[in-house]
Amino acid sequence: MQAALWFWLPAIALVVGTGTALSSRSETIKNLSKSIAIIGFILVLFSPVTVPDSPSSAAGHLLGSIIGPCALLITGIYLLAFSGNVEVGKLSSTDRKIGSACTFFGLIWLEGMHWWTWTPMLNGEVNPYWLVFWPTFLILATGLSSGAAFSLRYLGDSREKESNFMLVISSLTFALTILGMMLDGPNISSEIFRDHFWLAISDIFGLGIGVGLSILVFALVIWIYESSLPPAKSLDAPSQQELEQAASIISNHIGGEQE
Amino acid sequence: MSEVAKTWKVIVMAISVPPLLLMIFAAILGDDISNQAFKRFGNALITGYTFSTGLLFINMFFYADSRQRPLAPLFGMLLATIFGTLITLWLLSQGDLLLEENGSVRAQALSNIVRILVSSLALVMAVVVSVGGVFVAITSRPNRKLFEEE
Repeated sequence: MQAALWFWLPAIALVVGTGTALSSRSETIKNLSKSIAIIGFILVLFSPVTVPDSPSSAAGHLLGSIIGPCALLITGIYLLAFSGNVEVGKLSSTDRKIGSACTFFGLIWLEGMHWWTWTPMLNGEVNPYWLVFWPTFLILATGLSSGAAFSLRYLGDSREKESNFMLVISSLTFALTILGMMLDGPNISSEIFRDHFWLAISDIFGLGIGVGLSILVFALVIWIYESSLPPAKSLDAPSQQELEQAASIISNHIGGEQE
Repeated sequence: MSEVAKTWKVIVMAISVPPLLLMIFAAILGDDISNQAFKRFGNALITGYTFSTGLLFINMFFYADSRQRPLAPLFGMLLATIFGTLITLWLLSQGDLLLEENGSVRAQALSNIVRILVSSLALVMAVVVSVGGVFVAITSRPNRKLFEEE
């Protein structure tokens, strides 16, 4: 009951609030959804304190552990992107330096969670959800960065340098995954990492197929409904009088001699 | 095959090849976790379907807003969500088929939901790194001269 109140209810509020804020057209509903999502997020974050006995609160613990490096990484990338060559709203060169530092320390912090003693620990053991997050992030980052690199090369015009930069990111995350499979960290052995690598791969494929199926069902439901609707009533052809009126209006607006 | 189709094929391959190479490398190192991996795959599939149909059901309210609030598509998505939930609970109650290290169906179902949220967070961060990286790379380059001065 305590877990339902202090973890599951806020988690539902977080997911539904975010979804509604993204898809609603009404500004009032958007603002209300954002507030609900933020309150849900804070309560999930504090779930290791409010419901320490619930196994689900490990997710709140993970969120609290990775919010620092993730915020640094997001802020760093934002500052770096908008302090570059942008036409509108360009940030200063100081922001660029801050952005570089944020990105660097964000990455070091995340790496330290695997390769040093900063691993999220709960009751003396590695947080089980960290072992879900880290391999999933590495696998997706290497694949998506590689995809971005080839998109720049094949869809862009003279974007070889940018493509090479993305290949470096992809190779870096690829190498980190390989290293994790071969070398032991202080809290996570290579064997455990390999086990969770396979579980992360299973998760990604399973989720991909599950989400794909649900989108197919969604499209099917809309298609069946739309095809059951009667055809839209088309207008009658214009009468001779209407055509003459249109012709006179058009003739009054061409030529430009009156101005 | 058209140039566009070829390009998309290359991009899909570029996304899939690094994870496939990692899988080959992990397979060479020779751990046998096929049973656990199957269970995780099954859990992720049914939970992903149910969770996503639930979100799309909520989204259907906004679709209904633009169509004078018809009930049929809402009812259709509600049925799809209920179907996913029932299938999930039925499969999880089949003993050892999909139960991982959790003692009960409820614990496994809740653990699946938390894991889907954590995996989604990992996906968001991976998208931030890859898409953000593209923006950083593009804006870091000096403006290109589009036309030579006459």
